[in-house]
Amino acid sequence: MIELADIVKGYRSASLSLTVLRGVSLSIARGEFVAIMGPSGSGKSTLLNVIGCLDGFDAGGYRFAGEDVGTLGTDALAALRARRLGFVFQSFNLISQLDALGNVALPLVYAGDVARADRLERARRGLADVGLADRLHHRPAELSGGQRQRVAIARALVNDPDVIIADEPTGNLDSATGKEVMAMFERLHARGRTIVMVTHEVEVAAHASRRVTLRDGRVVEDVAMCSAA
Amino acid sequence: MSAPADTLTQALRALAAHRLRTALSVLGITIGIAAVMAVVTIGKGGNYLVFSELETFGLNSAWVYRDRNDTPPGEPQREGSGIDAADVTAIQARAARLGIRRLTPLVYPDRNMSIAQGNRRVDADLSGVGAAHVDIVNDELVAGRGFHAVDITARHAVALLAPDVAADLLDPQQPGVGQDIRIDGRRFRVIGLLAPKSRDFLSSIGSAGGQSANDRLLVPWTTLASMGGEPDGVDSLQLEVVDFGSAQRVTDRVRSLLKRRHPQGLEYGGETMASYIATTDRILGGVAIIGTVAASISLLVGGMGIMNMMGTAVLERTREIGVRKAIGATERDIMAQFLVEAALISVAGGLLGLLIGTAASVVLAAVTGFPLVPSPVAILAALAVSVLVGLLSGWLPARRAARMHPVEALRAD
Repeated sequence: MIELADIVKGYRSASLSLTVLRGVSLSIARGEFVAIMGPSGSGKSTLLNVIGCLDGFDAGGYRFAGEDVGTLGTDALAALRARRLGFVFQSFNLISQLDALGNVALPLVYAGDVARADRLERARRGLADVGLADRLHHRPAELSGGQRQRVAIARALVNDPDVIIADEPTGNLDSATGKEVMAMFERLHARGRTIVMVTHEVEVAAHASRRVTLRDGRVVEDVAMCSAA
Repeated sequence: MSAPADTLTQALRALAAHRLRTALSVLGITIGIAAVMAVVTIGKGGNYLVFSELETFGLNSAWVYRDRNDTPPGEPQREGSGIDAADVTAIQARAARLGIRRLTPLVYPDRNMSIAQGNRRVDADLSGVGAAHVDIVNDELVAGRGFHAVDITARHAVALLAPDVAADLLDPQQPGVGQDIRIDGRRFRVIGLLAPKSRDFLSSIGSAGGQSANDRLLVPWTTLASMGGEPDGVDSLQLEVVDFGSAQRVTDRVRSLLKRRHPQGLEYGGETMASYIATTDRILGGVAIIGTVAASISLLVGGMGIMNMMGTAVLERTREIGVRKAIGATERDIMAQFLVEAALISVAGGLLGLLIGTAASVVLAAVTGFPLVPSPVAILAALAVSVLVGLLSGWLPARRAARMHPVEALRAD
């Protein structure tokens, strides 16, 4: 599904040059639930952005579902994100002017070729799946943190993506809601979704099937775990 | 790529979230478009008004007169008006060949002549004219008759009065026609009363020479000439040419004919209504250009208002742009979103401006007596311009939004 080969990625500004990823090779198969861990500055977020096709890289190779990501233009990358990837962020990143239904339907707007009625129906089903059937027309500001993250998960799932990219999905939630969200991830994994998640919390990582640890831009540990659930 | 309808819905929603800011930006364009509309209306109305007033002089009119600067320096001034009754007859005989439909001699008093009835006196423009004068200058009679050929040949003491003169001079208890008045002590009979004429606009810009059309008193030119020192002398000839475009040529022909008939070396000048109209057109055109520039500047300021607002919106919504990109928006999606917002503001401003501009034009027309000349072209142009202003001023902010790096945009607060 995901094939990273010797990825190098750095940031250059006038004052400093910083290499964040120093040759990361990683292969993730369909159906895996991978937790990427590491101390801050280890490059785990940058790696996740590269995997999520949000950011480019300086050297190395990346194949996503057989496609050579390095050769894709901005439109093709946008299409990839619209149709084959779903994002869940630490701070939810819902659009405040849209209600829950509108937020969940938005990826389908950008994916194109889905009729409006169809989009709303799929969004409604998605929200029902995360237990928010009665919150369709609430705006983000009218929802609790846990509810917002569930809306975000519904948004990530609405286009039936190949991979879910999650960046500290429990980081802004209290532990009880965090557990709820992780339980939801486990159910998705159980149904065969591929999930790549960045976290710095060991308990959160414990829900994954595989743990990849980064330090100073290199993979220092890559272990399979028996699912704790 | 998202569908146009979705882009529109999103834009409306984003604008609704900042009502005051949107309203202010709309207002900028509204003022600009209203100003353009007002300028166009004033321009068209003014043009119409000038033409309808110029018509009261006769649009096909031309004037020929002796050029008194024809004496070489050092020689005694050559005497005489330079045009006499024989010239008038000669030109009349060749009228068709010269391209003249009709003509009238014009004679002005050679001294200040009192105009009175009993102890009422008026100060009015007295001129001596021919029988064709009434038709040439589009005068209408509200009572009585115009001059007949016999009035001219027999030097009858008869007069036509414009409304202001009639009101100030005549006995209001009696019918105006048939009353007697005195001009320079001589008794004249009023045979006709002229209809009022409007030259307010021309008088206000000075093209009418300060002469009020309603303050005129007309007598046969032969009669007035006989009261002066030169009983056959004509001060100028007013011609009505057959063809508007040939006015200058006809004038030149009459001038050379007069020169041939007066071999003592007199020179003649000529003027045509066509050249006055050209001058007026230039003045009005200049006014229109200044107005258009001023209106365009206010439109430009409106556009900069939109650019400013969209720039702020893009900055504020950086994170939202990042989110949209992360979930699959292309650069074109983002660009379209902000461009449509800018265009919506601008079009709303344009429509409102049209409404206000039209209302202002109606008020202006009512107050000044300007005719209201509706212009569908101007309306379409105003709308097109407002869309264009929106797109142009939205372009830079929208492009900045579209080109944001998703990761950096997501990192914004």
